[in-house]
Amino acid sequence: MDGKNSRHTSGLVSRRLLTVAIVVSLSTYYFPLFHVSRLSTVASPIDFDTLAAANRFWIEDLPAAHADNATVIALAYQTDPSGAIKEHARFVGLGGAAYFFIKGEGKVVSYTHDAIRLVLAGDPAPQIEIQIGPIFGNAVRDATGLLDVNRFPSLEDFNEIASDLNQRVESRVLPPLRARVTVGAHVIFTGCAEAGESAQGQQVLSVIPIKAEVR
Amino acid sequence: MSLRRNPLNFSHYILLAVSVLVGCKPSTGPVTTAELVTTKRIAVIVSTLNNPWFVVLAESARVRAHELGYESTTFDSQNDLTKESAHFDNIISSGYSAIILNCTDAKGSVANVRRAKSAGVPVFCIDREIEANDAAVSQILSDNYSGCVALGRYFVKEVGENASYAELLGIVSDTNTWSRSKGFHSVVDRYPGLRMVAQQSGEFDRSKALDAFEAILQSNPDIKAVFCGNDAMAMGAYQALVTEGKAGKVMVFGFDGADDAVRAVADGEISATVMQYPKLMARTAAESADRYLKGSRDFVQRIPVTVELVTRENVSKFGNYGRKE
Repeated sequence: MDGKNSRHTSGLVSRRLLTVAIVVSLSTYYFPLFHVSRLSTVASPIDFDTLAAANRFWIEDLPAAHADNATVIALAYQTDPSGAIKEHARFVGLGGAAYFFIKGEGKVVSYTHDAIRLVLAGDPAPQIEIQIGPIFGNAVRDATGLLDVNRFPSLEDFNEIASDLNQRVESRVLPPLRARVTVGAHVIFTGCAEAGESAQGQQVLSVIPIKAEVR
Repeated sequence: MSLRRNPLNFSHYILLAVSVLVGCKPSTGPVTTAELVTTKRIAVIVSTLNNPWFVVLAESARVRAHELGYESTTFDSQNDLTKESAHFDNIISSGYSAIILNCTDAKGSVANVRRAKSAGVPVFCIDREIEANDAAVSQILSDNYSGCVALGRYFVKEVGENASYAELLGIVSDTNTWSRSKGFHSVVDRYPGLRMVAQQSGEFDRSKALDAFEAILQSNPDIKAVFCGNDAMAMGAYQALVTEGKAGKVMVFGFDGADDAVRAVADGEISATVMQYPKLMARTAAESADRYLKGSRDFVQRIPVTVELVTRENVSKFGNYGRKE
């Protein structure tokens, strides 16, 4: 191979390598081999702050959530529990767990250390129970449907939220209610009630108050 | 050198490499009919077949997959992560198209699921959770914690607010063990008069629970109740009570909704259990795998499955690992 041919071949190689480089650059620009994603847009279970999520839900989301009319729901539930659940309840997962989120007002007809029995405003006037004893379960967490289990790293974290919210009800909502309740008092409330198959058979809805005022 | 003689070939190699790399990105679109025809096997990996509840879980998944037109095989991990890993290797190299997994270890199983995902084999978890949100396609899970909250409330109602009791835990490395225990204690610990005098692992095993509870009874003859992390252990605990002549004097509480435990609730031998729905979870997982293999990608990561308290008041509604039809 002489020098002229060698330079010609070398030039040809350079041009073709340049072409290849351009093709590769364009290909990787339009079809990148990997993507850099903003951390804020990717679920980051390890950094999840359960307490902050509970705070945000309690302070911002829960007060702003739409609550159904308690008299309408309680009447429907007493007349036809399955129909009321189908029409008004919020379902969670598979298997029939369902909850109502309601607001209303009524007069205290009786109370124990665990519950207040209210007759609601309306005609006919249904009765409900307001829980004032220890609070358990997922009603506060799940009744509005605003908290999604898939935003949490694990079921355990999701359950911690339920526990945290129940403690907030016990420490912030129930004490003034217990202190001021008397037969004949007027109670205005917003609250959550379990309505799934496991709750059916109850005579009246048992409501966990997230907000309550005694007049 | 051939590269020098025909430099265009080099560019072909690079373009080919780029094409391959780009093409290596996991497909997010529908699979073709041809792909379906050549890949129609679903593997069911179950943590143990040494417990009837898990047999029902695995068999329900296998049968539903078969009904949907897939060949399906069950692999028993025998509660051993190493065996589970070997199953994954075998399943991936054998060309299965999907895996339904009841894992042995919430943390340890994640690597197995990721390996399957990397190999393009989708994994659907049932009953037991893995601690990752981006490995399995979907996780269909019993809400153990909530079930034991309900059980704890019933426990307080039945046992009273002043009594000594014992707890038999499941396998201590299993997340379900602690979800159940934490759910139970989230209620019972609110009552200072309820004193836990013994807490031992029965490893979800009937005979180990029998041995452990016999020893507990001898050391604590005055206990009024025992909370067991599953029904196999509850049946073992009840057997210990029979042996010690204390049947009917100590209340037994289980979890799972196994058929023998549900019958024992009806017969008054066990106070309560919690019905999980193994058939519902298994069927849902098989149907999810089928939808995935037919091109659907619309899956949520976790689907909690409600569990229900089974007591003498409502036991007639339950049987055959679920609610009676």
